[in-house]
Amino acid sequence: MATLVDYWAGDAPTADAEGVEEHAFACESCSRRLAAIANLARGVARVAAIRGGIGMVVTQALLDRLAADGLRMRHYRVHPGETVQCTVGPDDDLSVTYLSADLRDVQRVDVVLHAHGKEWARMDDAPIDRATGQVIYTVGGDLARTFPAITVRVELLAPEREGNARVLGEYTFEHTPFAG
Amino acid sequence: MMAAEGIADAELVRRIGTGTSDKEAEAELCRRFGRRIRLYGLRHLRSDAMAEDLVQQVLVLAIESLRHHRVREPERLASFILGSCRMVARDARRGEARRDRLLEQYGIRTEVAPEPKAELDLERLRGCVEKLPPRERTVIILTFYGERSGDEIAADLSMTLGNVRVVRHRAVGHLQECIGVQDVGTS
Repeated sequence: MATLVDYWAGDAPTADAEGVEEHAFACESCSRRLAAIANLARGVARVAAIRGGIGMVVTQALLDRLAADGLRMRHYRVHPGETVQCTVGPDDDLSVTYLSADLRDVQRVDVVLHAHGKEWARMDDAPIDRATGQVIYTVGGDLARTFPAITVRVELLAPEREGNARVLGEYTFEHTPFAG
Repeated sequence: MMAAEGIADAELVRRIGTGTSDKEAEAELCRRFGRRIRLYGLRHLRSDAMAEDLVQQVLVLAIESLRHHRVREPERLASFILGSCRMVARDARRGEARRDRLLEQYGIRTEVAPEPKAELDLERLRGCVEKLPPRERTVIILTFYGERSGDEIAADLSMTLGNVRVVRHRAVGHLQECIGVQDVGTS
């Protein structure tokens, strides 16, 4: 399956890609498997830009593409120690949070969200957008519109040995619920 | 007319080439290769409309060639059709580039192609995508929505190309498992 996935993603070397094509054209079952991957890939592309949004860790380039495709976004840029007031509007597809921190030489980060004094959600091994040096994540508008008034403390952590973690930044979000 | 389902490619070539207008055999050729041609079109032309055009053009070309005995190696019918796909797709890309230049020159904006048919339950897939670990989710969305190559994703996220491939492969596996059917939506 890996070969078929690489082929569909455009990452197979030319000779390999031609070999996959030759084989898929001559083999009914392989053609079906490739069709399944193609179908899934096209489904993922549609889900990524779905109205109402999905939660994901993104890059600025990806956000630009989503904006070009017409998704409506609300942006919150925050530095360590800061508190931001946030909410969600009736037409927002994505709420986008940009966590700034000194991420030079950091290989892996975990994002942990706390509410009401306990862990509420976490994203282990959240990708860092190297172009901006930030961790950028989205919350789907459909989900955000269900949130009550809540204070969320976000920790950006760099995992270290023996289960310890270095705190790279702490951020506070005072959420005002959707008024619709 | 004899049923043609399941017969070997070489027999299909022979029957279409008999000059008796074997509609069963021609229909079987279309059934057998239509989806494969469409897949090729989607992969190389990245457009539903262009992929559908490719299917029509290649099948017409193939049937015409078979009727006139222009396929020299009947047992290599699949290769012949793939070769036709490559040729027609190359011409289609050239035509598209020419059209884009004209549209830009005259400042004309074309409508976006219609939404592809819903072959997957998108809400279900949405749930499955949101269940993926963050890195798998990011990589698979950058690949299939962002149309970023493995090298570009590796640079975007400070990963190696090998790691991008492993993560992407794992994500596809997780999604297929979550959706529950290996060959979902292959019709």
